[in-house]
Amino acid sequence: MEIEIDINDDMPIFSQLVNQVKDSVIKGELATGFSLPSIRQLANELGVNQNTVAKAYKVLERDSIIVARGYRGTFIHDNAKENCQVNLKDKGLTIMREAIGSVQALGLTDSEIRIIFSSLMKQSK
Amino acid sequence: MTFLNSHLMTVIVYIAVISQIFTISIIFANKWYKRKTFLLEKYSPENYPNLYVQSSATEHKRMKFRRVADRIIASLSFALVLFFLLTQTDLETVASSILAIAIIQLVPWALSRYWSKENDLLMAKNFPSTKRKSSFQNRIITDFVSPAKLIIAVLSYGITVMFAVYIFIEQVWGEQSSKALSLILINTLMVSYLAWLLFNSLYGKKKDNFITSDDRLNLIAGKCQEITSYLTMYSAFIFGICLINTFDLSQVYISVLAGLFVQLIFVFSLTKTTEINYEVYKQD
Repeated sequence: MEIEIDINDDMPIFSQLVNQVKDSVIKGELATGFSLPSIRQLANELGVNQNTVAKAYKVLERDSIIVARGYRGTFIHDNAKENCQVNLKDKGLTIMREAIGSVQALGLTDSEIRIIFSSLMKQSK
Repeated sequence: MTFLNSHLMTVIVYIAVISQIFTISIIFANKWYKRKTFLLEKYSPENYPNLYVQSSATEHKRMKFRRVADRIIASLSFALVLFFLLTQTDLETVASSILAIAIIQLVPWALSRYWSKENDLLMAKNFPSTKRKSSFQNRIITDFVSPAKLIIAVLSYGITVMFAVYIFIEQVWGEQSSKALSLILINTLMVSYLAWLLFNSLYGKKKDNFITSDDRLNLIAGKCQEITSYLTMYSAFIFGICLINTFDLSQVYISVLAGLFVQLIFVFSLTKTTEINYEVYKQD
Protein backbone atom coordinates (compact mmCIF):
# COMPACT_ATOMS: atom_id res chain seq x y z
CA MET A 1 0.00 0.00 0.00
CA GLU A 2 1.24 3.48 -0.82
CA ILE A 3 0.57 6.75 0.88
CA GLU A 4 0.61 9.98 -1.11
CA ILE A 5 0.55 13.54 0.15
CA ASP A 6 0.57 16.88 -1.60
CA ILE A 7 2.60 19.45 0.28
CA ASN A 8 0.85 22.30 -1.53
CA ASP A 9 -2.66 21.08 -0.81
CA ASP A 10 -4.92 23.30 1.30
CA MET A 11 -5.60 20.35 3.55
CA PRO A 12 -2.91 20.03 6.25
CA ILE A 13 -0.52 17.14 5.69
CA PHE A 14 -1.46 15.41 8.92
CA SER A 15 -5.13 15.46 7.84
CA GLN A 16 -4.19 13.96 4.47
CA LEU A 17 -2.39 11.15 6.30
CA VAL A 18 -5.28 10.55 8.68
CA ASN A 19 -7.84 10.45 5.86
CA GLN A 20 -5.76 8.08 3.74
CA VAL A 21 -5.22 5.67 6.60
CA LYS A 22 -8.95 5.71 7.43
CA ASP A 23 -9.88 5.17 3.76
CA SER A 24 -7.45 2.25 3.52
CA VAL A 25 -8.90 0.68 6.67
CA ILE A 26 -12.46 1.01 5.31
CA LYS A 27 -11.40 -0.51 1.96
CA GLY A 28 -9.68 -3.38 3.77
CA GLU A 29 -6.19 -2.47 2.49
CA LEU A 30 -4.98 -2.13 6.09
CA ALA A 31 -6.09 -5.07 8.16
CA THR A 32 -6.27 -5.45 11.94
CA GLY A 33 -2.82 -5.85 13.43
CA PHE A 34 -1.01 -4.31 10.45
CA SER A 35 2.26 -2.75 11.61
CA LEU A 36 2.55 0.91 10.69
CA PRO A 37 5.90 2.47 9.77
CA SER A 38 7.58 4.40 12.56
CA ILE A 39 7.12 8.18 12.74
CA ARG A 40 10.76 8.72 11.74
CA GLN A 41 10.54 6.33 8.80
CA LEU A 42 7.35 7.83 7.39
CA ALA A 43 8.51 11.42 7.94
CA ASN A 44 11.82 10.75 6.14
CA GLU A 45 10.08 8.94 3.30
CA LEU A 46 7.62 11.77 2.72
CA GLY A 47 10.13 14.54 3.43
CA VAL A 48 7.97 16.10 6.15
CA ASN A 49 8.58 17.07 9.76
CA GLN A 50 8.36 14.24 12.29
CA ASN A 51 5.92 16.32 14.34
CA THR A 52 3.47 16.29 11.41
CA VAL A 53 3.46 12.50 11.28
CA ALA A 54 3.33 12.33 15.09
CA LYS A 55 0.23 14.53 15.01
CA ALA A 56 -1.45 12.27 12.46
CA TYR A 57 -0.67 9.20 14.56
CA LYS A 58 -2.00 10.97 17.66
CA VAL A 59 -5.31 11.73 15.92
CA LEU A 60 -5.57 8.16 14.64
CA GLU A 61 -4.89 6.83 18.12
CA ARG A 62 -7.45 9.17 19.62
CA ASP A 63 -10.02 7.88 17.13
CA SER A 64 -9.01 4.28 17.98
CA ILE A 65 -7.91 3.54 14.41
CA ILE A 66 -4.41 2.62 15.54
CA VAL A 67 -2.92 1.47 18.82
CA ALA A 68 0.63 2.16 20.01
CA ARG A 69 2.29 -0.75 21.81
CA GLY A 70 5.49 0.92 23.00
CA TYR A 71 8.73 -0.52 21.57
CA ARG A 72 6.79 -3.14 19.60
CA GLY A 73 5.41 -0.44 17.33
CA THR A 74 2.06 0.90 16.17
CA PHE A 75 -0.67 -1.30 14.78
CA ILE A 76 -4.13 -1.06 13.26
CA HIS A 77 -6.73 -1.29 16.01
CA ASP A 78 -8.88 -4.42 16.34
CA ASN A 79 -12.05 -2.36 15.78
CA ALA A 80 -10.50 0.13 13.37
CA LYS A 81 -13.07 -0.45 10.63
CA GLU A 82 -16.04 0.27 12.94
CA ASN A 83 -14.23 3.21 14.53
CA CYS A 84 -13.59 4.77 11.12
CA GLN A 85 -17.35 5.21 10.75
CA VAL A 86 -17.49 7.28 13.93
CA ASN A 87 -17.11 10.95 13.20
CA LEU A 88 -15.89 12.61 16.40
CA LYS A 89 -16.62 16.09 15.10
CA ASP A 90 -20.26 15.19 14.46
CA LYS A 91 -20.46 13.60 17.90
CA GLY A 92 -18.96 16.69 19.47
CA LEU A 93 -21.43 18.88 17.59
CA THR A 94 -24.41 16.86 18.86
CA ILE A 95 -23.23 17.05 22.51
CA MET A 96 -22.53 20.80 22.25
CA ARG A 97 -25.92 21.42 20.61
CA GLU A 98 -27.70 19.62 23.46
CA ALA A 99 -25.66 21.47 26.10
CA ILE A 100 -26.29 24.87 24.53
CA GLY A 101 -30.00 24.05 24.21
CA SER A 102 -30.12 23.20 27.93
CA VAL A 103 -28.30 26.38 28.94
CA GLN A 104 -30.50 28.55 26.71
CA ALA A 105 -33.56 26.96 28.34
CA LEU A 106 -32.29 28.43 31.67
CA GLY A 107 -32.63 31.91 30.14
CA LEU A 108 -28.94 32.78 29.68
CA THR A 109 -28.09 35.11 26.80
CA ASP A 110 -25.73 34.18 23.91
CA SER A 111 -22.91 36.42 25.25
CA GLU A 112 -23.24 34.89 28.73
CA ILE A 113 -22.99 31.42 27.19
CA ARG A 114 -19.89 32.50 25.21
CA ILE A 115 -18.22 33.89 28.37
CA ILE A 116 -18.92 30.66 30.28
CA PHE A 117 -17.58 28.59 27.37
CA SER A 118 -14.35 30.67 27.10
CA SER A 119 -13.71 30.43 30.82
CA LEU A 120 -14.29 26.66 30.80
CA MET A 121 -11.88 26.25 27.87
CA LYS A 122 -9.23 28.27 29.74
CA GLN A 123 -9.71 26.18 32.89
CA SER A 124 -9.43 22.90 31.00
CA LYS A 125 -5.93 23.93 29.79
CA MET B 1 58.92 -14.35 13.19
CA THR B 2 57.60 -15.58 9.86
CA PHE B 3 55.91 -18.86 9.28
CA LEU B 4 56.38 -18.67 5.53
CA ASN B 5 59.84 -18.65 3.98
CA SER B 6 61.09 -15.26 2.78
CA HIS B 7 60.79 -16.01 -0.96
CA LEU B 8 57.18 -17.08 -0.63
CA MET B 9 56.50 -14.02 1.53
CA THR B 10 58.04 -11.75 -1.11
CA VAL B 11 55.84 -13.28 -3.81
CA ILE B 12 52.74 -12.88 -1.65
CA VAL B 13 53.48 -9.23 -0.89
CA TYR B 14 54.08 -8.35 -4.53
CA ILE B 15 50.95 -10.24 -5.60
CA ALA B 16 48.96 -8.38 -2.94
CA VAL B 17 50.12 -4.94 -4.03
CA ILE B 18 49.84 -5.65 -7.78
CA SER B 19 46.37 -7.21 -7.42
CA GLN B 20 45.31 -4.19 -5.37
CA ILE B 21 46.40 -1.81 -8.12
CA PHE B 22 44.58 -3.93 -10.69
CA THR B 23 41.43 -4.36 -8.62
CA ILE B 24 40.89 -0.76 -7.58
CA SER B 25 42.36 1.36 -10.36
CA ILE B 26 41.84 -0.86 -13.40
CA ILE B 27 39.17 -3.57 -13.05
CA PHE B 28 36.64 -1.75 -10.92
CA ALA B 29 37.51 1.68 -12.28
CA ASN B 30 36.77 0.35 -15.81
CA LYS B 31 33.60 -1.26 -14.53
CA TRP B 32 32.50 2.09 -13.09
CA TYR B 33 33.32 3.91 -16.31
CA LYS B 34 31.50 1.34 -18.49
CA ARG B 35 28.42 1.55 -16.29
CA LYS B 36 28.34 5.35 -16.45
CA THR B 37 28.81 5.28 -20.23
CA PHE B 38 26.06 2.67 -20.61
CA LEU B 39 23.64 4.75 -18.51
CA LEU B 40 24.42 7.94 -20.40
CA GLU B 41 23.87 6.21 -23.74
CA LYS B 42 20.77 4.21 -22.85
CA TYR B 43 19.15 6.87 -20.68
CA SER B 44 20.32 10.06 -22.32
CA PRO B 45 19.83 13.46 -20.63
CA GLU B 46 17.61 14.55 -23.53
CA ASN B 47 15.09 11.73 -22.95
CA TYR B 48 15.56 11.29 -19.20
CA PRO B 49 16.15 14.82 -17.95
CA ASN B 50 15.15 14.04 -14.38
CA LEU B 51 17.95 11.47 -14.04
CA TYR B 52 20.66 14.10 -14.41
CA VAL B 53 21.08 17.28 -12.43
CA GLN B 54 24.33 18.19 -14.13
CA SER B 55 24.63 19.00 -17.83
CA SER B 56 25.76 16.30 -20.24
CA ALA B 57 29.04 18.18 -20.73
CA THR B 58 29.73 18.19 -16.97
CA GLU B 59 28.97 14.47 -16.69
CA HIS B 60 31.36 13.66 -19.54
CA LYS B 61 34.04 15.96 -18.15
CA ARG B 62 33.83 14.26 -14.73
CA MET B 63 33.98 10.79 -16.28
CA LYS B 64 37.00 11.76 -18.36
CA PHE B 65 38.73 13.23 -15.29
CA ARG B 66 38.06 10.02 -13.36
CA ARG B 67 39.39 7.85 -16.13
CA VAL B 68 42.57 9.89 -16.48
CA ALA B 69 43.09 10.01 -12.70
CA ASP B 70 42.66 6.22 -12.37
CA ARG B 71 45.10 5.58 -15.21
CA ILE B 72 47.71 7.95 -13.86
CA ILE B 73 47.45 6.44 -10.37
CA ALA B 74 47.65 2.90 -11.77
CA SER B 75 50.70 3.80 -13.88
CA LEU B 76 52.51 5.51 -11.04
CA SER B 77 51.70 2.64 -8.68
CA PHE B 78 53.05 0.06 -11.13
CA ALA B 79 56.12 2.25 -11.64
CA LEU B 80 56.65 2.28 -7.88
CA VAL B 81 56.32 -1.51 -7.68
CA LEU B 82 58.81 -1.87 -10.53
CA PHE B 83 61.18 0.46 -8.69
CA PHE B 84 60.86 -1.71 -5.58
CA LEU B 85 61.60 -4.83 -7.62
CA LEU B 86 64.60 -3.39 -9.43
CA THR B 87 66.14 -1.86 -6.32
CA GLN B 88 65.34 -5.00 -4.25
CA THR B 89 63.68 -2.83 -1.61
CA ASP B 90 63.20 -4.52 1.75
CA LEU B 91 59.90 -6.29 2.18
CA GLU B 92 58.70 -4.14 5.09
CA THR B 93 58.90 -1.01 2.94
CA VAL B 94 57.07 -2.70 0.06
CA ALA B 95 54.39 -4.00 2.42
CA SER B 96 53.92 -0.64 4.12
CA SER B 97 53.38 0.97 0.71
CA ILE B 98 50.23 -1.18 0.25
CA LEU B 99 48.12 1.08 2.45
CA ALA B 100 49.68 4.28 1.14
CA ILE B 101 48.94 3.21 -2.45
CA ALA B 102 45.39 2.20 -1.44
CA ILE B 103 44.73 5.65 0.02
CA ILE B 104 45.88 7.34 -3.20
CA GLN B 105 43.86 4.89 -5.31
CA LEU B 106 40.75 5.72 -3.31
CA VAL B 107 40.96 9.49 -4.00
CA PRO B 108 39.17 9.34 -7.41
CA TRP B 109 36.52 7.09 -5.84
CA ALA B 110 36.03 9.59 -3.00
CA LEU B 111 35.67 12.38 -5.54
CA SER B 112 33.02 10.44 -7.49
CA ARG B 113 31.21 9.77 -4.24
CA TYR B 114 31.28 13.48 -3.41
CA TRP B 115 29.87 14.37 -6.84
CA SER B 116 27.19 11.71 -6.43
CA LYS B 117 26.13 13.12 -3.04
CA GLU B 118 26.05 16.62 -4.53
CA ASN B 119 23.79 15.32 -7.32
CA ASP B 120 21.50 13.62 -4.79
CA LEU B 121 21.00 16.90 -2.95
CA LEU B 122 20.29 18.77 -6.18
CA MET B 123 17.91 16.07 -7.35
CA ALA B 124 15.94 16.25 -4.08
CA LYS B 125 15.77 20.04 -4.43
CA ASN B 126 14.70 19.96 -8.09
CA PHE B 127 11.88 17.45 -7.75
CA PRO B 128 9.15 19.08 -9.90
CA SER B 129 6.03 17.82 -8.18
CA THR B 130 4.60 18.78 -4.80
CA LYS B 131 3.36 15.21 -4.33
CA ARG B 132 5.26 12.77 -2.18
CA LYS B 133 4.77 9.02 -2.09
CA SER B 134 5.79 6.41 0.39
CA SER B 135 5.29 2.72 0.86
CA PHE B 136 3.22 2.37 4.02
CA GLN B 137 5.14 -0.61 5.34
CA ASN B 138 7.13 -0.87 8.51
CA ARG B 139 10.73 -1.75 7.79
CA ILE B 140 12.90 -3.86 10.05
CA ILE B 141 16.41 -5.11 9.33
CA THR B 142 15.33 -8.76 9.14
CA ASP B 143 13.12 -7.92 6.17
CA PHE B 144 16.33 -7.45 4.18
CA VAL B 145 19.07 -9.38 5.97
CA SER B 146 18.76 -12.92 7.30
CA PRO B 147 18.93 -13.31 11.09
CA ALA B 148 21.84 -15.73 10.61
CA LYS B 149 23.91 -13.08 8.83
CA LEU B 150 23.13 -10.55 11.56
CA ILE B 151 24.08 -13.03 14.28
CA ILE B 152 27.38 -13.74 12.50
CA ALA B 153 28.11 -10.00 12.34
CA VAL B 154 27.39 -9.53 16.04
CA LEU B 155 29.32 -12.67 17.00
CA SER B 156 32.36 -11.69 14.95
CA TYR B 157 32.44 -8.33 16.77
CA GLY B 158 31.94 -10.00 20.15
CA ILE B 159 34.63 -12.62 19.58
CA THR B 160 37.12 -9.99 18.39
CA VAL B 161 36.50 -7.81 21.43
CA MET B 162 36.78 -10.78 23.80
CA PHE B 163 40.05 -11.85 22.17
CA ALA B 164 41.47 -8.32 22.48
CA VAL B 165 40.35 -8.10 26.13
CA TYR B 166 42.02 -11.47 26.81
CA ILE B 167 45.22 -10.19 25.17
CA PHE B 168 45.16 -7.13 27.43
CA ILE B 169 44.31 -8.94 30.65
CA GLU B 170 46.80 -11.76 30.13
CA GLN B 171 49.41 -9.32 28.75
CA VAL B 172 49.91 -11.67 25.81
CA TRP B 173 51.78 -8.99 23.89
CA GLY B 174 53.92 -8.02 26.85
CA GLU B 175 54.42 -4.26 27.10
CA GLN B 176 52.49 -3.75 23.85
CA SER B 177 49.32 -5.36 25.27
CA SER B 178 47.59 -2.02 25.73
CA LYS B 179 47.50 -1.78 21.92
CA ALA B 180 44.78 -4.41 22.10
CA LEU B 181 42.57 -1.78 23.76
CA SER B 182 43.22 0.59 20.84
CA LEU B 183 42.12 -2.17 18.49
CA ILE B 184 38.91 -2.62 20.50
CA LEU B 185 38.30 1.12 20.27
CA ILE B 186 38.94 1.22 16.51
CA ASN B 187 36.75 -1.84 15.98
CA THR B 188 33.94 -0.41 18.10
CA LEU B 189 34.07 2.96 16.36
CA MET B 190 33.97 1.36 12.94
CA VAL B 191 31.20 -1.06 13.90
CA SER B 192 29.19 1.84 15.40
CA TYR B 193 29.64 3.83 12.21
CA LEU B 194 28.52 0.87 10.08
CA ALA B 195 25.54 0.29 12.37
CA TRP B 196 24.59 3.96 11.94
CA LEU B 197 24.89 3.56 8.14
CA LEU B 198 22.63 0.52 8.38
CA PHE B 199 20.07 2.46 10.41
CA ASN B 200 20.27 5.34 7.95
CA SER B 201 19.74 3.00 5.00
CA LEU B 202 16.57 1.68 6.62
CA TYR B 203 15.09 4.88 8.02
CA GLY B 204 17.04 7.78 6.53
CA LYS B 205 15.73 10.58 4.33
CA LYS B 206 14.52 9.66 0.88
CA LYS B 207 16.83 11.40 -1.56
CA ASP B 208 15.19 10.36 -4.81
CA ASN B 209 11.46 11.12 -5.04
CA PHE B 210 11.19 9.73 -8.58
CA ILE B 211 12.08 6.15 -7.73
CA THR B 212 9.26 3.61 -7.29
CA SER B 213 8.62 2.10 -3.85
CA ASP B 214 9.61 -1.39 -5.03
CA ASP B 215 12.91 -0.17 -6.45
CA ARG B 216 13.58 1.78 -3.27
CA LEU B 217 13.06 -1.36 -1.20
CA ASN B 218 15.42 -3.29 -3.49
CA LEU B 219 18.09 -0.63 -3.10
CA ILE B 220 17.62 -0.62 0.67
CA ALA B 221 17.91 -4.42 0.72
CA GLY B 222 21.16 -4.30 -1.29
CA LYS B 223 22.63 -1.63 0.96
CA CYS B 224 21.67 -3.46 4.19
CA GLN B 225 23.21 -6.72 3.00
CA GLU B 226 26.38 -4.93 1.91
CA ILE B 227 26.81 -3.12 5.23
CA THR B 228 26.13 -6.30 7.24
CA SER B 229 28.90 -8.02 5.27
CA TYR B 230 31.24 -5.13 6.05
CA LEU B 231 30.47 -5.51 9.76
CA THR B 232 31.64 -9.11 9.70
CA MET B 233 34.60 -8.42 7.42
CA TYR B 234 35.88 -5.55 9.51
CA SER B 235 35.74 -7.51 12.76
CA ALA B 236 37.49 -10.41 11.01
CA PHE B 237 40.19 -7.99 9.84
CA ILE B 238 40.81 -6.73 13.40
CA PHE B 239 40.80 -10.34 14.63
CA GLY B 240 43.42 -11.12 12.00
CA ILE B 241 45.62 -8.27 13.26
CA CYS B 242 45.29 -9.60 16.81
CA LEU B 243 46.30 -13.10 15.64
CA ILE B 244 49.30 -11.79 13.71
CA ASN B 245 50.57 -9.90 16.76
CA THR B 246 49.80 -12.79 19.12
CA PHE B 247 51.95 -15.20 17.08
CA ASP B 248 54.60 -12.47 16.80
CA LEU B 249 54.48 -12.62 13.02
CA SER B 250 56.05 -9.98 10.83
CA GLN B 251 54.09 -6.73 10.41
CA VAL B 252 54.26 -7.47 6.68
CA TYR B 253 51.31 -9.81 7.19
CA ILE B 254 49.20 -6.94 8.53
CA SER B 255 49.88 -4.83 5.44
CA VAL B 256 48.99 -7.75 3.16
CA LEU B 257 45.83 -8.37 5.17
CA ALA B 258 44.89 -4.67 4.89
CA GLY B 259 45.39 -4.74 1.12
CA LEU B 260 43.24 -7.85 0.75
CA PHE B 261 40.58 -6.31 2.98
CA VAL B 262 40.35 -3.18 0.82
CA GLN B 263 40.00 -5.33 -2.31
CA LEU B 264 37.25 -7.40 -0.68
CA ILE B 265 35.32 -4.21 0.08
CA PHE B 266 35.40 -3.35 -3.61
CA VAL B 267 34.33 -6.83 -4.63
CA PHE B 268 31.37 -6.74 -2.22
CA SER B 269 30.21 -3.25 -3.06
CA LEU B 270 30.72 -3.10 -6.81
CA THR B 271 30.08 -6.60 -8.13
CA LYS B 272 26.30 -6.43 -7.92
CA THR B 273 24.17 -3.69 -9.49
CA THR B 274 20.55 -3.26 -8.46
CA GLU B 275 18.54 -2.48 -11.57
CA ILE B 276 15.76 0.06 -11.24
CA ASN B 277 13.00 1.36 -13.48
CA TYR B 278 14.49 4.39 -15.21
CA GLU B 279 11.24 5.36 -16.95
CA VAL B 280 10.29 7.40 -13.88
CA TYR B 281 13.00 9.90 -14.82
CA LYS B 282 11.44 10.79 -18.14
CA GLN B 283 10.00 14.25 -18.65
CA ASP B 284 6.36 14.43 -17.48
